[in-house]
Amino acid sequence: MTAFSLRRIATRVTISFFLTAQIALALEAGDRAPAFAAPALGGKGTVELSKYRGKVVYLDFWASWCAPCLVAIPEIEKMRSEFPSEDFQIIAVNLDQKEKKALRFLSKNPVGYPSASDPKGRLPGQYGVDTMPTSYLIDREGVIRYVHRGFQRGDGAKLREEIRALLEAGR
Amino acid sequence: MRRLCVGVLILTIGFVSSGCVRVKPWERDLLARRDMAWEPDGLEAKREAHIYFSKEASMPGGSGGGGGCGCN
Amino acid sequence: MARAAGDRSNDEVSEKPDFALPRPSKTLTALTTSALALPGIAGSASADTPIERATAAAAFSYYNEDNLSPGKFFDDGGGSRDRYEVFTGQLRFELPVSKRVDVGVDLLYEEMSGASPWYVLPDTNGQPLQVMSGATIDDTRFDAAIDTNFYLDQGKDTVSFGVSTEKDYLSIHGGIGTERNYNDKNTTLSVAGSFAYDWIDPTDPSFSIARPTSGEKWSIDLFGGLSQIVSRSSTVSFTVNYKHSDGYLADPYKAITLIDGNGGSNIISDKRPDEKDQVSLLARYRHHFEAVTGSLHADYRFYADDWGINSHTVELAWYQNFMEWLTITPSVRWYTQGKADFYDTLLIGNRPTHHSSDYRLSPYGAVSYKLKAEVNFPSVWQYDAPSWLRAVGITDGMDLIASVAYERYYSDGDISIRSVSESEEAPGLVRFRVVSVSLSGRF
Repeated sequence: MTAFSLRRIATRVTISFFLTAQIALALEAGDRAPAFAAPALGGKGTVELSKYRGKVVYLDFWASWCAPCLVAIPEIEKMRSEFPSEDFQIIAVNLDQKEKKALRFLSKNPVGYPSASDPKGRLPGQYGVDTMPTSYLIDREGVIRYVHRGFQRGDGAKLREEIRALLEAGR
Repeated sequence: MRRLCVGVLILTIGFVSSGCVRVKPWERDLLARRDMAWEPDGLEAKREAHIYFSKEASMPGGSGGGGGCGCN
Repeated sequence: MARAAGDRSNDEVSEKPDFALPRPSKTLTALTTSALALPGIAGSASADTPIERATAAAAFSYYNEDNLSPGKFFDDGGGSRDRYEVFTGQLRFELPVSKRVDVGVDLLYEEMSGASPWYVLPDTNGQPLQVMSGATIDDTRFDAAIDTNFYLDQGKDTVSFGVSTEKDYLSIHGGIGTERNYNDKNTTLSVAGSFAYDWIDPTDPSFSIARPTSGEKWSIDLFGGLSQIVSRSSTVSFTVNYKHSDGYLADPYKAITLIDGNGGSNIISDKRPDEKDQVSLLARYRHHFEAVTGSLHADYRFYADDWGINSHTVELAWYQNFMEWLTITPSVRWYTQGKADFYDTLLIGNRPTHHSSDYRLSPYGAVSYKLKAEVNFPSVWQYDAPSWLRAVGITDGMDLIASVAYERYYSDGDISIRSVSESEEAPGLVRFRVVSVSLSGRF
């Protein structure tokens, strides 16, 4: 019994080494933001990252079951009106399996930016999201400049700083 | 009995170290449910543990983390 | 064997009968089962991050034991069959303190009254009957505990401290613990340790020359746990708890009858070893069934100590969700324990070093059924909080959860997995019910 179990452990450990390679994919500042076109939440149209090339983009991955994600949304919405819309764009990617729950949250907390729907999680896989929520600040050339993991009240201050820096850099 | 315990222990370590079932941070909607917590109602758990502790000979087991929504 | 009321003697040091014993004027949950809150171990939430919103929870419960049945009661004119009744109020607050720290505070206040088992005497057929203490005046217990969590990128550290006090004792405890995540947070390892020191000051020290006028004990508790996500809808955890206690571990309000060779009998104090080692192994499984929006909780615990007691516990609960705002949870618990090496209803002829007639050390099984209903009101009201409230995480809107639960517990020698003889079965085995209500809110 012992010999068989040892072989089983060895196999599993080997497999796990290969699988751990997956998490090394997390994109960081300096990496190009993968382009995407995803259906909009609620089914009306598509949300395309490339459409906003030339603007500073704030990309937020969220879901209705994730408490810090929900804390972030009203704060992000507040930021939206503070920066000129021809220079700054917010896009969200919602990862709920059931759109209904995400839509219900948004109906009580309306936002003025588009949200894509990605229930299969292809986009967070491409971006290497390892925490919920994670947001990416992307510069006008489409390169990630800042990754913000998690969200606490008061994180807005740090985000505004980073956004201002990127808006300035573009001039 | 002893062999069974050792077997279960090895299986557990093997299973856990395998990482072959890896739920991604955005796939944890069900795990984030209140009714999927180890103890959804903390006050109830403490109260019950105290009652059984007072009326029976045994010691309660502890509580740990893990599961949940994986936020942050 | 018939005994005249008031004819009691107690001796620990010599065989010479002593002064008459007054019945203890108060009762207490056994001091060996200290009333301290679970030694400071990280709270039950699987917190990965400091809480974003302040929470407050309150619960109130009423515990009531069935009267001792007349068939088990040795009526000596002084005892009461009216067993324990406890009113308990609990409060818990959780506050985010900074980006990486949050704090929890637990408060508990309890009022207890009722008679409790004292010692056992045989009836005319030799069957053991329970002698009870008299009805009591209220005793109260107050517990306070605080825990602070420090969050790291892949885990958290916890420090906790608490105090528990009743009229005749004081307990203080402190602990530290840590949790680390691996495998993309699919695996969590936790370890914790805590230390407790108790001072016992039994009321009525004149009860007997044998009852200590004061006693102390300390204990150390070590915990290790592993939890693993099995799939999108299930998790499993294994924990090990080891505890070592040292000091006065007996129950000063309990006694045991010693029947000598000549048919005479004495009542002598409960005497237990002054050290104890305990181990508890717990396996838990949680599974959510999406198709029916219900979750299954299955727990198994194995316990063993060096006093000779082994026990098994199985708990099953089903959380059935309706319309997202109502959850009904039926649950059942089976428990079986063996006896302590030095447990006996009566001592006949011999007098071992350690002896106790406490039903809590006797062999028996127990079954309990519970039903709980919980209602969840998200965002009960919306308001704009002033800045000082926002600073502690209270912004706007409040989620409320209200619940009510009922539990019924029976213990009996017949439910035990090993057969328990009539002479071994403690006549004082308990049956009780608990009704509780709670309200909690997130701000």
